[in-house]
Amino acid sequence: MKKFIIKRLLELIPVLFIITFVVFVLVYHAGDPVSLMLPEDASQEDREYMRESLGLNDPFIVQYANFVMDITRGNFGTSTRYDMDALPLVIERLPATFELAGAAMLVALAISIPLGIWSANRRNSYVDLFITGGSVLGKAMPNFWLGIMLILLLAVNYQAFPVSGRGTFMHLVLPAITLGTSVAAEMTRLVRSSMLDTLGQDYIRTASSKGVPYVKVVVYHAFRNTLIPVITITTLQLSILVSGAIITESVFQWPGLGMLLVQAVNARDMAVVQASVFIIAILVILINLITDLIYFIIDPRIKHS
Amino acid sequence: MNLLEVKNLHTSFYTDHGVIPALTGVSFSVKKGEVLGIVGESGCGKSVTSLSILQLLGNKGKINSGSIHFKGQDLTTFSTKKMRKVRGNEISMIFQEPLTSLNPLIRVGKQIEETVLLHKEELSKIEARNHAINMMKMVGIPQAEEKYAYYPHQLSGGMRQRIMIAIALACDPELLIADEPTTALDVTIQEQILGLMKKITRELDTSIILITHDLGVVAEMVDRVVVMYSGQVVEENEVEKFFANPKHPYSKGLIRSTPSIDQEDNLESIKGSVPTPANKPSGCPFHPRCPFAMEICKSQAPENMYYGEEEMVNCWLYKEEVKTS
Repeated sequence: MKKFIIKRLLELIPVLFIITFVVFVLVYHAGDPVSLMLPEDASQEDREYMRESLGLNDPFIVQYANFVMDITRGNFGTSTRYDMDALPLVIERLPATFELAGAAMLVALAISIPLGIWSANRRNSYVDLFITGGSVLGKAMPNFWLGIMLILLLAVNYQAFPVSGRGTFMHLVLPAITLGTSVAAEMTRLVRSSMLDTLGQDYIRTASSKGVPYVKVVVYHAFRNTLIPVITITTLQLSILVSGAIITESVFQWPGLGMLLVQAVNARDMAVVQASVFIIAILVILINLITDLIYFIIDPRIKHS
Repeated sequence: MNLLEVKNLHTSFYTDHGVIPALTGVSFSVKKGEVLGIVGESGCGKSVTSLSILQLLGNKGKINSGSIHFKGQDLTTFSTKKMRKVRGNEISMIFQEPLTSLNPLIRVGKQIEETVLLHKEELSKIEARNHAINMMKMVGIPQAEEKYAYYPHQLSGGMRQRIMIAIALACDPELLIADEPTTALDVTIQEQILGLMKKITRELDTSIILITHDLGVVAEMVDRVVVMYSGQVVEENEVEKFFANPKHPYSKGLIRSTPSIDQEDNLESIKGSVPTPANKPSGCPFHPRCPFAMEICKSQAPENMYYGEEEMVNCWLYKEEVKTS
C-alpha cells in the first residue's frame, strides 16, 4: 500500500514535466506579451528594451528552462491584472471551487444512486422509462440555461435563494443543483446499467437460493459490486468539476477557479493561466490517486493481485 | 411418501421474441435419502427444472401449470415470503461455476454465516460464526478458522465448490439440488467433490437431485435416473436397469456416445442437436434425430408409458410392449 502510494507520487513528476511543456508552448505562441503590457504608442526602442529585459529574445529552450526553474521555486510570475503573485491568487480560489464541486457531487450522488437502482430493479417498466428519459433530458439540458432558469424562477420570482455570489449555504444551493444535474443524469444511467449487470450475475442467484430477501440481495450483495464502475465515473466527473465549472461559475458569479481562469484568458493574464492549469493538473492527478485507493478498500481482488 | 413430487410442470420464458416454452410437462419424484440423477444434453431443460423447484426463474420465467409437492405441500402456491423460508433451509442448491457463484466482495465465511443467520434465528452471531467454521471443517477445508476470512478469489476451484457445499448444507436441508457441481472442475477434484457430497448427504440423510450430462457421474452417484429431452422427461428408471437396458433411443444414444476405456473404434454420437424450445418439431421432439423414427412419431407425441411405478419411457416403440405387459 505504502509502496503503491509512493510509486504513484513519483509518477507525478514526469506528468507535471509534460504539463509544464504544453503550457509553455501554448503561451509562447499566444502572442507578444510586450504589446499588451506597453501602451499602444510605445516606441520601437522601448519595446525592444522591454523584450530584452524580460528575456523574451532568448532562444526557446533557454526560456523554457527558466520557466521550469521558476516553477520549482513556486514562482509562476506576476499577474498583470491583479499585480500580485499568480500562485497565491489561484490557491485562494480553491476553497470556493472545492465547495461547489463537492456540493454538486453530493447532489449528483443523492439523485443518481437511488434512481439508478430503482430503475434497474423495475427494468422496462414505466418508472424505468421515465427515469431513463429524464436522464437524457438532464444530460441534454445546457448548464447555463438551467442556471438562468433556476435564477429566474427561484431567485428572482420567489426570492428563495440569492441570485449570485458566495457566502451562505443558500448561495450554494442553486449552483450546486445546476452543476449536479448533468452529472446526475449521466451517473443515473451508469448506476442503472451497472446494477443490471450485477443483478444478472451468478452470485445474485446464489444469494436468492439461500433465501436472502430481495431488498437485502440488492443492498448487501449487489450494491458494492455495482459501485466499482460507478466510482471510476464519479472521480472522472469530480476531476471535471474541480477543474473549474467555468459556465456555472460564470452564471452565478461564483468566485472559483473556473471564473478566475476565464477572466485570466480574456485579459491575457498568462501567469495566472499557467498557474491555474498547473494546479488543476495536480488536482486531477491526486483525485485519480485517491480513486485507486478507494478501489483498494472496496475490492479485495485488487489487494492481492 | 415422496419427499418431492413434480407433476406435469410447464415453465415458460417471456422474452422480447415471444413466449418460449422451456418445460412441457415434466414429472418425477424424489424419495427421502435418494439420489436422483437428471441427465440430458445442454438446453434440454435440466437447469430450468431445478430453478423452477426453487422458483428462481427471474422476472421473465414463469411456472404456467403443474405442481411441485414438497413434503406434501405444493410449492407453487407458496407466497414469496414462505418460499424464502424453504430456500437454503429445506431445499438448497449448488451451482456449476464456483467462481462466479460466490460474491467476490464478501468473505467466504460470511457467505456461509449469512445462510445460518437467515434460517436459524435462535443462533447468536458468534454461534453462527462457529457453525460456519464447523461447516468449513466438515467439507474438508484445512485451517478453517483462517480461511473464514478469505475472499473467493483466494481459494482454488475445488475449495470454492466446497464452500458452496458448506453454504448449501449449513441449515441441514432435506433436499440438495446440485446443478452440474463438478463440470467446471478438474477430474481429480471432481472425484473429491462427488465423494464429499456422497459422504455428507449420507450422514445428514439428505436427498439429492444431481443434474449432469456426465453418465460416469450418474453411474457412480445416482440411485435413479431421469432422462430429459427438449423440456420433457423421456425415460425414468433405476440406475442399474437404465445402464443395462436403456429404452428410449435418446438414452441409448447417450450411453453409446460415452467413451469407455477399452473402446477401439470411433465414438458414436447423436446426430444433430437439441431443438430450441421455439422451434420444437411436431410429434415426438426427438424424431428428426431418431434412428428408429416411424410415421407416427412425426405427427403425434407419445404418451408416458409405465412399467410399474418406477419405470417409464416416452416412446412409440414401446406402445405394444406396454399394452401386452
